[in-house]
Amino acid sequence: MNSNKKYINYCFVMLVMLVFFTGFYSLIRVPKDTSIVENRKLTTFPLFNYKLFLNGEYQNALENALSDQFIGSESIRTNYNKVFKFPFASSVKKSICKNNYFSLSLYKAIYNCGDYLVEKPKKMTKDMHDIMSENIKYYSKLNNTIDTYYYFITTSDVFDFRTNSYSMDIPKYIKKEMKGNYTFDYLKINNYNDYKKYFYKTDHHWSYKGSFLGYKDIISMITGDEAKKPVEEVSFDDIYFNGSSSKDIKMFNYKEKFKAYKFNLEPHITYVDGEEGIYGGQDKYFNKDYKRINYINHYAEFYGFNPKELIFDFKHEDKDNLLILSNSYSNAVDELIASHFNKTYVLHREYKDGNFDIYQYIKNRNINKVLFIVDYSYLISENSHVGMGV
Amino acid sequence: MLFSSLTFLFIFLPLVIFIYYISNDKYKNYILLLFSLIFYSWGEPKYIFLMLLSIVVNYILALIIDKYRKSKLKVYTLIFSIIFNIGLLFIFKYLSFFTININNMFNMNIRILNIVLPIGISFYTFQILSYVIDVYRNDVKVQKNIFVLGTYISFFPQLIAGPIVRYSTIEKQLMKREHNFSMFCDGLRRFFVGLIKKVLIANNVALIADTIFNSTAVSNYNFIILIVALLSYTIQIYYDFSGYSDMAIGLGKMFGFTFLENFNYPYIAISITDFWRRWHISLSTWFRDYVYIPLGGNRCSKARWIFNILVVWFLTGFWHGASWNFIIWGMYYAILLLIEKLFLSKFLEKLPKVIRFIYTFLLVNIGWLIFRIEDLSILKNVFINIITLHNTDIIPFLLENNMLLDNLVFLVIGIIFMFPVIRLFDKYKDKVWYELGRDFILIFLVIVSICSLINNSYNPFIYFRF
Repeated sequence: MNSNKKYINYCFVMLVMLVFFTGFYSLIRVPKDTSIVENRKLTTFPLFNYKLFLNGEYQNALENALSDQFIGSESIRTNYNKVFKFPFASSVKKSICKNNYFSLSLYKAIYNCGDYLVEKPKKMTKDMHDIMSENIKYYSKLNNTIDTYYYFITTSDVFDFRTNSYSMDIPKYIKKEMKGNYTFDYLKINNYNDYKKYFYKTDHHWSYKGSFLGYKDIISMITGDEAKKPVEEVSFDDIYFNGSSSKDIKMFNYKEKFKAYKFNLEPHITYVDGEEGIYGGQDKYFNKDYKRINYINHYAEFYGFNPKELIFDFKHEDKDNLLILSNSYSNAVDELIASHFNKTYVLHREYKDGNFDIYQYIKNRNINKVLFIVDYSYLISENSHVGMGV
Repeated sequence: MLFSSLTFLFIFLPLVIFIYYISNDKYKNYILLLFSLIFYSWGEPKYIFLMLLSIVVNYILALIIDKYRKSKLKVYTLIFSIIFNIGLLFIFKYLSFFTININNMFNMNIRILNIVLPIGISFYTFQILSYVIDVYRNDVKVQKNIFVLGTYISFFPQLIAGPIVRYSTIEKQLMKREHNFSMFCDGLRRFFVGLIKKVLIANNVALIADTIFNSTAVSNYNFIILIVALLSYTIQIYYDFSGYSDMAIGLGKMFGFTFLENFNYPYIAISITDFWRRWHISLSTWFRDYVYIPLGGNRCSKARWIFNILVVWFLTGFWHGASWNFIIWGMYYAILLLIEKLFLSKFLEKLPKVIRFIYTFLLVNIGWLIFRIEDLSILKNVFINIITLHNTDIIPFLLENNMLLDNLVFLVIGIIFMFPVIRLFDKYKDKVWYELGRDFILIFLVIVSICSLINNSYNPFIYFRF
């Protein structure tokens, strides 16, 4: 071996060792539990177990742990898809996506070459019909025992921007399937521009404008009151919001400025899962005291994460008590709606188990009105009627 | 365990290299055997005993053949060995296929056993057979140390996806082999080339091919989409399998073994005969030496020679999988080779090389279509759509499958490097700047490959099922 070749080989092996020591270091450093970027729990290194080894689970867990715990794995995941963008692909995409959905994954797409990550419009299938019809049957049982109100949030799952019509006309479906006495309204979307106004670019939730419109509709539907007006529209310019849609498909180049309305609500007491406290982080945000970490879920940080039970007590003894049944969509409007009532109880799906009895819950708390705030995903959830049996 | 897995790259490989090189020479084979068994059991914990059984039985049978060389027992033992090895292969790979076909043909209801195919059984069975047959032929000395024989059969670089390494190739290396830093580095480089081929090219073009061919609407796709899918599969299978062979050859070198080449730019072949001299060389030479020549090769009547060719290619097709499309694929090549050898070769020789290349590449692609689509009715529809230039709207497909456009660049890179463009740089290979530049590019691409694996990219290995 000539000396040049020898040194080249040394150089090569040194570089290779450098790369591979990062892998070793990943094995010995303290493992990370969660990824803010991907909004999920990370796999940690599994302890050897003979039974798990025999059925291959140990091997899979170790491979996943290596992938999750590798140094810089989060930034690799966030940047990998950005790097592999080629001009040819982009120009063809641009030429074909006009007035069309361009698919980014099995369910997610962009419409009209836009930068809003939307769901591809779904058609009603028999399975969907069976679940929705079963749920509505159970909700209907409440209708004749108490004042019930339903508010449906039209999301991109059920609305086709190509035809500006429902791909799955849920409002019509609810009216057809729902029995008894009830009041119904829904967030109306007429076209893609409406959608852009009322929803986030990178998240499935409604934006501050969408949720405010929803709040106005709901209050008008239940009490006829005038909606409270925001005192300020605040833009948090030093942070970006990467919502769940961009995280689901690892498209981290899709992001947006986070904005919200500020309201001056009367003093009230809030109970989160039975404990008196503060729900959400609105005060902190308006005081500019928020986490400036990339990829954080600002919708949840600002409006609050999903508790099992939330109670707002505005001490308006002359007003009704309200029960809201919903999912994370209502987090943005619960407090606003509650300001029109005496006590407002909010139950998320997580609260309800097999022993839960909604009639008893209503009776014990002197609840006068029940409001469902639902979207497509709530209606097709197989456990959204738990506790409504009998 | 996959070579292109983080577990292999960051735990298994560094560990085996470290322990191997700090060990005394006399323990090196034991180290390799131990790690090879761990490697195999990682993916197939339950089937490790099947492989061990195969090793023990064939070890004993080879000893009997050697001991009773002058008696008829030698022949009976060889026959028993062949029945035993092919029998195992039959049970684990072909029994369900035969049961299904017997049920269909005779309207019977024989219970179909859901047997999972043990990884690499087709490869290690052929290696074992070549060893026993070579002992019988007295081409190699019988191996009296079962651990050495075990090391040969279970040696992890070539255990699960080849190349099929003959015992005669590494007989001497198993007993005594040279280790030097230069060979180790060359092996490492070769391993990296294979890793890059597999992770960056094969995995990405696989996304195109699999999305299209696995779609339920494949029978109705536009011919352009189908051609892109077919080209993608052609590139995928080459980079996947030759990448694996590169990794195996590289790993072999790192442990002091020299395996024979398994691919030699097969897609630049200028005839089907030429293609099979360049593609999966270890398999085609195995069939040549252990089936074709014993049957009489071409030193017999023309009818017998045609029969020999048909048998060899039927077996080659069937070796690849227990499915009719593989048999058809084998017979397709038998017919092409017969046509070439009987009529076409003299005509082809007069044509310009470019035409011969196009002729071969086209036929090879048709072959891969048969190979890829197991459902014969879909295969028929796809084939008709391609040749009739079936023209449906391409836009809805592109709108639904963004990965096609995103990965098209890998298809183009794959096509470029299926030609020996690297050889253009051969004249610089002794220059320091060239070697340094090559190493930096190699390491950069390895880092990108690792990033791709961390990103949980698609990572299928085609030849694992064989």
